[in-house]
Amino acid sequence: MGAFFIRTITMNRSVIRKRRVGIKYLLLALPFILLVAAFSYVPLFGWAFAFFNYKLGFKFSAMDFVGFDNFIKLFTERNEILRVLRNTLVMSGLGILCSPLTVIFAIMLNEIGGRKFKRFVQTMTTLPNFISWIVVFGLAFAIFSSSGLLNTILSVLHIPTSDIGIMGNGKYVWLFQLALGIWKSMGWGAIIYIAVIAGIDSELYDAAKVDGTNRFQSIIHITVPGLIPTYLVLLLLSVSNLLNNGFDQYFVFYNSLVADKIEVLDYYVYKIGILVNDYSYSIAIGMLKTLVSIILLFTVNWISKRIRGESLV
Amino acid sequence: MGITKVNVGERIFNVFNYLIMSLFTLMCIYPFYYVIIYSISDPAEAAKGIYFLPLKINFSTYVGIFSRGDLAGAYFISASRTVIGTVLCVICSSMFAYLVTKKEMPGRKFIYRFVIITMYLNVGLIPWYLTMKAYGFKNSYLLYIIPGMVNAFFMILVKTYIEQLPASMEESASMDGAGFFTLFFRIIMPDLPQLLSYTIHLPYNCPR
Repeated sequence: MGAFFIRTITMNRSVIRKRRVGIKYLLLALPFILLVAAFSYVPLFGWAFAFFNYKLGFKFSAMDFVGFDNFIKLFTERNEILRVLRNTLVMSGLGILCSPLTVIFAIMLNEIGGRKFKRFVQTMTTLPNFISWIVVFGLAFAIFSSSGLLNTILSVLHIPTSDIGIMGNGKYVWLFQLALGIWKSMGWGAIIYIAVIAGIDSELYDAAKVDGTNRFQSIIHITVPGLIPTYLVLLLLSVSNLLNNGFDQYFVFYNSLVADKIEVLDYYVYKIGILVNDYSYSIAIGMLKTLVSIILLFTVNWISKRIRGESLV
Repeated sequence: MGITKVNVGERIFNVFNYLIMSLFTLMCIYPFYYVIIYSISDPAEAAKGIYFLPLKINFSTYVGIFSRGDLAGAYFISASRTVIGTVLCVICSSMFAYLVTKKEMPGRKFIYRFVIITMYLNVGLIPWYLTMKAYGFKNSYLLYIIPGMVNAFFMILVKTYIEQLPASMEESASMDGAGFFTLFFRIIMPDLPQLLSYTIHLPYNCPR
């Protein structure tokens, strides 16, 4: 009986101590939780404006409640929305289609013999990732505009050039933006794959050599299967980001000549909100975009669970 | 004979590989080089066509830029916001991550999911602007720093990393009498730099 009492007393003491320590941690975490709530969840109240006729500068009570009018507007203006959606999906889709290029680049970089050259290439190719799209536009303008480097070279070689240059040509917008996106992100994206390749057990390569495979076969049968899990995770993450194209790139390269093809969802939200000043409609579009993105994320997560047995989130 | 075949094929591949890598590296470097030599050339000469060397070196454009008073201020703000923002972001996110790994803290699963969902919650430009205006951040330097203090992605990275560390490290330190902050700053933080090398691009992600 006495032993039982002593046991329960010491058990309670350690449980109480754990509780106290736990509460202490919770109090420490409270400022961070409040921070996250204040900057990520509180702005959600702004979604309420989608249901009102928002007028800048007026008090909240002065605005009339329009209910789902803005969402109905999404349907009546669906041609515009579909066009913008088409642009967004095409650019994201092209990016995803070209994602194996990064893997191939990483594999080929790994095959380079000279270590100094390899490191030099790796450093230099990650360079474009660190410059902002505004600077990229400056570079692109210097090279691709009608008085830029490309046109100068072509005119010296007596090849006819167009007056507008490639940045004003509506036909090539998607490919041009895709090429710029690849140029900017390939070096950086390859870092992850290079790290994974470095982690592949070198005994596999030795065993393969003993079995008589040449270099290419060992790449196909050892390196690539080692990279596939990482590639799939990144692929699923990019699919869940299908609608989030980014804003900077399309904002700087926007001009009226390419407007039809370059407006993506984020740019359209900006245009409706800041340029056209239809704030409520803009918020409504943004709301729908977030909802679709979250649905995409959980769908992709579920697919990943079914196929690979692991979830991403 | 089989060895010679492999050697020839491999050699061709090597040459091809070096060529492609050099070409791509050139494509990455040349635009910067072009802009630099263009900027130090005489404008009239450069308009005719400039490829590899600057023509008539002339620093008038640089003089023009530096004589503007506001440039130094702009650079200072960019540099300081990057440094301060990143440092604060790293400290806050990793401290938060460390707290979430503590099993004694009640509700940690909820808090973790609470933070992860924010990665995908994009409220939109207008609600964000209105909220920041309501908080008083409208023309403030703090706008670069405070909203980005907890970066969900970095927090996930740090949490997985801490959970991979051997528990004996923390246990032996706490037996020697280390409190929470000592544990955090002396033991967890020094291991972060290798993780940090993957997150140097945080300045572009942390502030919205």
